[in-house]
Amino acid sequence: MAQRILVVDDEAHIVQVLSLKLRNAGYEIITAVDGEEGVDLAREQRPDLIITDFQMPYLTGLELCQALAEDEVTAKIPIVILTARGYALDDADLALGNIKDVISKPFSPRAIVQLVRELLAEANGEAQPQPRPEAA
Amino acid sequence: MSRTATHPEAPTAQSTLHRRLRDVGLLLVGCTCSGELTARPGRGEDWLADLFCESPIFRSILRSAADQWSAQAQPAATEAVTGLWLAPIPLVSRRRRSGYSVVVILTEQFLAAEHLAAMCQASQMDRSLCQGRLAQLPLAAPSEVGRLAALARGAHDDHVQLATDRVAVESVGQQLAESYEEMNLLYVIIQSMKVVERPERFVTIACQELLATLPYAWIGAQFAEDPERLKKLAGRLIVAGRPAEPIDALSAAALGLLAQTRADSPVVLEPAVNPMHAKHASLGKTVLVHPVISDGQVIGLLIAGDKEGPDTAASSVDMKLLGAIATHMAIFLENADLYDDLNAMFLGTLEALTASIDAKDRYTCGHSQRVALLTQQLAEAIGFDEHTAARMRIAGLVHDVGKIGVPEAVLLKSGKLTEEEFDWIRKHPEIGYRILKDIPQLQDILPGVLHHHEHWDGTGYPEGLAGHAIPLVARLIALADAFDAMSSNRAYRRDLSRRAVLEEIAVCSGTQFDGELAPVFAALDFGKYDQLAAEHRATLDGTSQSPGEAA
Repeated sequence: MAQRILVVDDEAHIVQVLSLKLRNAGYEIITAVDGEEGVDLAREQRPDLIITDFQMPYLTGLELCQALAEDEVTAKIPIVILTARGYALDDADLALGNIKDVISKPFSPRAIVQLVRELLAEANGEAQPQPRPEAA
Repeated sequence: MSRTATHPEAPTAQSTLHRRLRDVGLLLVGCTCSGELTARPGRGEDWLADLFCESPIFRSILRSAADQWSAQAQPAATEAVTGLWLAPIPLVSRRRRSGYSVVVILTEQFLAAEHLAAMCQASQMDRSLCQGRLAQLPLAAPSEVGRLAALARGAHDDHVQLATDRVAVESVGQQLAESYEEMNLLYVIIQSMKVVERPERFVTIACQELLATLPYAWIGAQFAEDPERLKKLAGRLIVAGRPAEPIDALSAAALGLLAQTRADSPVVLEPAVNPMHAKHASLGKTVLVHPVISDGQVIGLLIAGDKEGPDTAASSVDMKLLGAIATHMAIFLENADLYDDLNAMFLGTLEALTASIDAKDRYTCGHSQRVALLTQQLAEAIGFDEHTAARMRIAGLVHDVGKIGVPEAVLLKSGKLTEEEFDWIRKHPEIGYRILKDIPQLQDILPGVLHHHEHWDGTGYPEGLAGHAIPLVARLIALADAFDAMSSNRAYRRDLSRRAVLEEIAVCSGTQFDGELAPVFAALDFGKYDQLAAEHRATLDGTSQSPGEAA
């Protein structure tokens, strides 16, 4: 079963480009257009990884990370933040939630696919003693 | 399970959809979760819409239907009054129900319904007229209501999806256009990195292109006060755009900033927001600063001042582009520096070589340099660009290099030359050509060396070429060479006055010299030439006179 990635961004072009590249790389993609919807979808669909924008309406990327960290169902999902506001983030912010990387825009879609592959391999390696229900 | 994404407000899609549904006898209106009308065709545009929307009875029917729907996860079509069905399509915003699009479906029973009379009255419509119009509508049979509602819902979802997709396509298109601009900027910068471009010009182009691509009021490059490394750019601020402050004030502020910039750390200044940046307020509200690093040292700052547009926050997209250009700028300046060094060494070596040949004969001391100067001036006077004229100067500089192969006894002889001796002299262009022909960088110079003794009428040497068959650069050198020879004390004659020399050139114009070039040559400003000749004479006097004679 394909691994599922949640892409959260209010900018349609980012969602389009990432969905296209990741889908072609063999992942199942679900998308949300703001942080609020991102949190709801993450709880409902338990993606294997989340790529989220930082600056979004209703709930920022950081608030999304915090909300997911507070819920044990979603706390372990690795998160990648995409941002054009990297300057506004400091180490204390990044300690919130399970943030694995911060990528500043503009990014290379190929590099993102590579990063996703590595993070998922890493997560799978850790999870091996307890195989996921779908994988069984 | 198929999820419907957030439905954006889509008035265009709504009105198109309204028309489509109306064509098959259905009316589309919008309402809030509590049933208050929000969207309907304009008053007077559609009699059917007016019939319902102007009627308090219909509004109250809608409110109670909405009340019913609010408890249903997937609200169903209801026959609100006899023959009048309301099929709700929930609208979703931020994953919550924000209202309904309602499809009004009428069956034949409605024609006879008592509500119709009341509605006509409320909408100030004649009942029988209204009934007549209604009878012409494609009214539904009660059994068709479910199918029509499903069809309308499908069409509605398609329209919403269409609107969402249109927004996405516009966003992707907009982004694509911006990406093209960024790509174009990089192309332009790379293309203008040709090392022959002057550094000031390169920096100006870079700033202008950045300004055209980034949403800032001005883009500037401030250079450190380091004349040794930066030459003419030292301490200068090159600006594209319209800064609010005068350039001098801006430059002073930028130099202050430069002094405290650590290597390779881009900075975002927000003087209005961040008190730490208050002292840089003269640079603008949102300012991006990227250092230009060469050899590990900050040699300048690339500054984007006063972000404009709806989003004035600093963006990493802007900064990355600024950084890429700063890197290119550093590479360009380093290359320009290396090029200048190599070029200076190359010219210096050629000058030393030719000077050492000229020095064999006190009467030809400095001859090559003077011919070089005149050849360059003449080339510029007939319209060649700076670069070509500089190449022609080099040709003038080395034109006599073949004299190194001519015996000194012949070169220095003060009397008339024998035919055999003159044969030696005649060989110097070919000897020079052979000496230089294997240097790839001097290929364009060779014709000048080989043919500078050809005459316009074909009586010169070595090949006896005539007219335009003689390479242009050789025709330029021939004039410069003859002028300098006649103007100098030669072993075989005293120097002539300037007037006599120019007269002689005019006389030989069309026979020895190109008749078109000779008058241009005669009109040159010989100030620089005279200055150079005086310097050469002074050097000669200094070395040849004994200390006693000097006094």
